Amino acid sequence: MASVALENVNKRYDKAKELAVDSLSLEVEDGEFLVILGPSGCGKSTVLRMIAGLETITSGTLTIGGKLMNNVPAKDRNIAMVFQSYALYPHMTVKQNLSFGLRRRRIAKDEIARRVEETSTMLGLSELLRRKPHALSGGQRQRVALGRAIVREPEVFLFDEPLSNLDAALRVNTRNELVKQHQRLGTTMIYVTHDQIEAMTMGERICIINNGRLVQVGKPLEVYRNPADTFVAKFLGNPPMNLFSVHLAAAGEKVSARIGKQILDLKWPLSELVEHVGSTVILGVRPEDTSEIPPTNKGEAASLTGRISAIEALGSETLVVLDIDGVDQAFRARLSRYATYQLGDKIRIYTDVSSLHIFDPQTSMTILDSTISKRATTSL
Amino acid sequence: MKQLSRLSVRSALFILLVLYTAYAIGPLIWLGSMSLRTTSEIDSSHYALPNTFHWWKFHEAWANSNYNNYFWNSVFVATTSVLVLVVIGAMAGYCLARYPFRGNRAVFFAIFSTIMLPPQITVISLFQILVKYGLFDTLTGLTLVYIGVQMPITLYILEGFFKRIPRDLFDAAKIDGYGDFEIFWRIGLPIAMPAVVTVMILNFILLWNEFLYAVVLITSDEKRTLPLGVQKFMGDQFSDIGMVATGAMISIIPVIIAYAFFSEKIIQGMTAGAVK
Amino acid sequence: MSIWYRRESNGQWPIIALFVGPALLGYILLTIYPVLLTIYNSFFEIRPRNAAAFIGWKNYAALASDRTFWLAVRHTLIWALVAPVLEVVLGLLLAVTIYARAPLGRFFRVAWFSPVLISYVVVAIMWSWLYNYDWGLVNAGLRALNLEGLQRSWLGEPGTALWALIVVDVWKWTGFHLIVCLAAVHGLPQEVIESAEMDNCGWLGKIYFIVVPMLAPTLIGLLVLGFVGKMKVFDLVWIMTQGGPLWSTETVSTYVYKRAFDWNTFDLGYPCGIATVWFAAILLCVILFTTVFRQREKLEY
Ligand SMILES: Nc1ncnc2c1ncn2[C@@H]1O[C@H](COP(=O)(O)OP(=O)(O)OP(=O)(O)O)[C@@H](O)[C@H]1O
Ligand SMILES: [Mg+2]
Repeated sequence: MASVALENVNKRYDKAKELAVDSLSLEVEDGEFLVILGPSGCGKSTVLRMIAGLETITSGTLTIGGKLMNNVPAKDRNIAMVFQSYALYPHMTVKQNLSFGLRRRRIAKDEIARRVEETSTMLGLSELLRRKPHALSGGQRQRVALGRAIVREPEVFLFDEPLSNLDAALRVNTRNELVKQHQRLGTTMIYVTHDQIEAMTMGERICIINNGRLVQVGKPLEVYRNPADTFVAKFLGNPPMNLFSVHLAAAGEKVSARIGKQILDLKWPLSELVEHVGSTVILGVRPEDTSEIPPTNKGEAASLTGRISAIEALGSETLVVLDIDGVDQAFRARLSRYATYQLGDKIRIYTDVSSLHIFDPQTSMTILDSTISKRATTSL
Repeated sequence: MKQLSRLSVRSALFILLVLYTAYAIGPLIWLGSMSLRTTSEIDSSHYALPNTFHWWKFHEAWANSNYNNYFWNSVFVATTSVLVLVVIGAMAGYCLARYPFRGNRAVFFAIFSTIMLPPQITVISLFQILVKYGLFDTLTGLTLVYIGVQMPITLYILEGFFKRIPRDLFDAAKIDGYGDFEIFWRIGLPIAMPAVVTVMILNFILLWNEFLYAVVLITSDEKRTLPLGVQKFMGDQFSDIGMVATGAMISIIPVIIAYAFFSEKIIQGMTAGAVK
Repeated sequence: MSIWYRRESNGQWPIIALFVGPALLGYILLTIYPVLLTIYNSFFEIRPRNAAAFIGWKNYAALASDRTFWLAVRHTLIWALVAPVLEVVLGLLLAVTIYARAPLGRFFRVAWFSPVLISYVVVAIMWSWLYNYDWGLVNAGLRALNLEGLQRSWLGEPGTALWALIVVDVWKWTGFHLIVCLAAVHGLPQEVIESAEMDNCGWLGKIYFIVVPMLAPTLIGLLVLGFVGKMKVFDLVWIMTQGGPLWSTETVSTYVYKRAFDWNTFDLGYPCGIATVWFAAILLCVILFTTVFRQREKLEY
């Protein structure tokens, strides 16, 4: 078991103009389950492959268990990796696939047999040991790939989107299975995905990467509640957070926002936002923080009106898309399943001001981060 | 009515098919039947089928006309070349497919482009070179030349196959602790087995039939390969048609056997370049 | 702390050298060196036991006025231009015919392709028998059709020998083109062929207007392949006619062979000159074809 630390790591592929990974610093604690989340092509796999030793590091340092690893070849890092394609050796049986890495490391035969036996029993592969990968189902292949990593008893597990080739039901089961394995083994695991549900449900911490840069690291709920910038705000949450430009103005001791002809009473103390008053900021509202019913605690609620342009009644809830004057994108709201509206209805929706997010339009970073996080923790 | 014309079109097509097939393999069957008949039988009726199968003719050609010698020479030259080619070609093909080093494509195209060289451009110099190093009129010399001649196609087919193996497999083996050569040996080569087999059969057949380099580089009778032996026998025993046919049959039987077992592989291998 | 950053291919060079080295070495010793040596030799007169004498462009000058050489060029070009066209056209026609849902099995494929695998020596022997004046199948067939007047010694007369050889070449290679065309035709979208059926354009029209344009890359590839291959033709000629009668089947390859090893001229410089010129000609053709058709990587033996 070991911690993993990257410090100012850069990666430039041969002949590429742009950096695939741009001064990334990240510490993964010993025994932690860290999820790296980001859109396709952002450099997640590159990070993982550098940790594994499959790609060289252009500059910066990588340490595993406190030891500098930059120039240690992959075969000498005690790491196991599960690939998106599983990468099972097609000419070997399941058993040979499992023991391949152990045989190279000159582990005693009976020890190999014991570990293969133990792992295959645990993963329900005992019946399949003699089969070749082409005779396995997708889920079985996935388990063999996982087993191949587990028998190795490595210091660090790396996963590169290991569930994306499974169907939905299997994915949920395997997710739980993986979390259970982590609890059992207690080994450091780094898990790459572009699926936010996997990230939210599996990660002890998640690390969000965009365009090769680290954007935010934190516990899943922290990141969800306090997105560091508009990218994270949009990326995490489904449907994504509504983001739109508003004009801030002072209303007495409090701050209000103007959207088209409407005034949204933010009820925030002027002191917190004084430097932004009179300018445009980006306001973020999560669809799930909206409601068609006025909150009982009126003092903390703000409201907006809009015309319904689409309705999706999902049974458990109702999603509506609103046209709001002054907001150029569609505004999504998540209402209760009892909401019965028609297309074209003009409705008023309410939200708790403490759940609003404000971002700087230039840097797209959050403003009022500390304040909101304080509120968030108190209401937890 | 329509059904009827359909049927007649189909049977016309079928007849055409059979005719073409007869044209393609008729001569071979004729040769086969002559190889089992004596020359006097053949002279009395050239296109009859054998009444009695004179299998002894094969023994006769084999033992008394030096065919066993030619045969084993061909086996030696073809097998050695094929084995060396597949080892060298697989290593080079693997490396060119998997390591993106500077000059990779240049090396590949340099070797590959020699596929269109006319043999004359090398054969005279190879003659001189082999004479100089005492390899002229030796099976070793011919084998070396054959290795050079078949390298481009070998490399082309194997490189193409290695390229199609997903990179993840090699990465997985690296993480499992294996070094470059072990990965080639334990992962690359076993997975590429279908292509390796194709290349081996293809090279074997082409070299088994090779004539130009052999006729230039081999002069003594005891070193002759089968094509040279058959040609010589044809020259010497011109009128003994029956025995010539038997000798020719001996030279093509291994090819026919290989073809019977691996026809699809051989067809694929031969047409590999053209279809793409 | 000072760290040494590994570059992508740094440290891999020993491995790369180990893997590619043998092939590269073989390539240099057995291909590049002989090619360069041939070109070098073409400027010399090389007789056994004498030192090679430098004679500049003399070999090339002699070549320009060597009537046999130009005859050989003529025959080789006729061969290289006619045979591939015949083979491809025949192959395509057969492929389309067969594609039209005639019963077709592994057996037929195997049978059609088999001439490709038979060595030239055996093919040559077989066909010289078929062309035999007295009992060859060709003349026997003519007699059976009461066309005794057309009988001739096909390989023995200057007027027919070259064409008789080309026929043999076509016999050997049509199966190859047939199989390739068949694969290509099967690769065509079904709807295209069926819609042409609806349009009632005739059978030949279908081939000409639909199949040929769609298969153009394959067909051109085959033609170029055939052309380059036939420019090297040697075995068949050498075994069947040795260039005769009266030079009528002399090709560049057989002429090189004769000048180098068969006539007792004892000069290796001159045939090297022929080989160099011919190599340059083929190279030029290939470059021309590739630029004209932009058929990258499609030229194989
Ligand atoms: N071998 C390579 N050579 C050059 N560029 C590469 C190479 N591999 C990846 N890249 C580039 O680096 C960037 C990051 O790629 P990477 O594979 O790490 O993305 P990813 O986040 O894993 O995406 P995905 O979710 O689609 O797997 C991409 O822009 C990609 O095009
Ligand atoms: Mg990836």
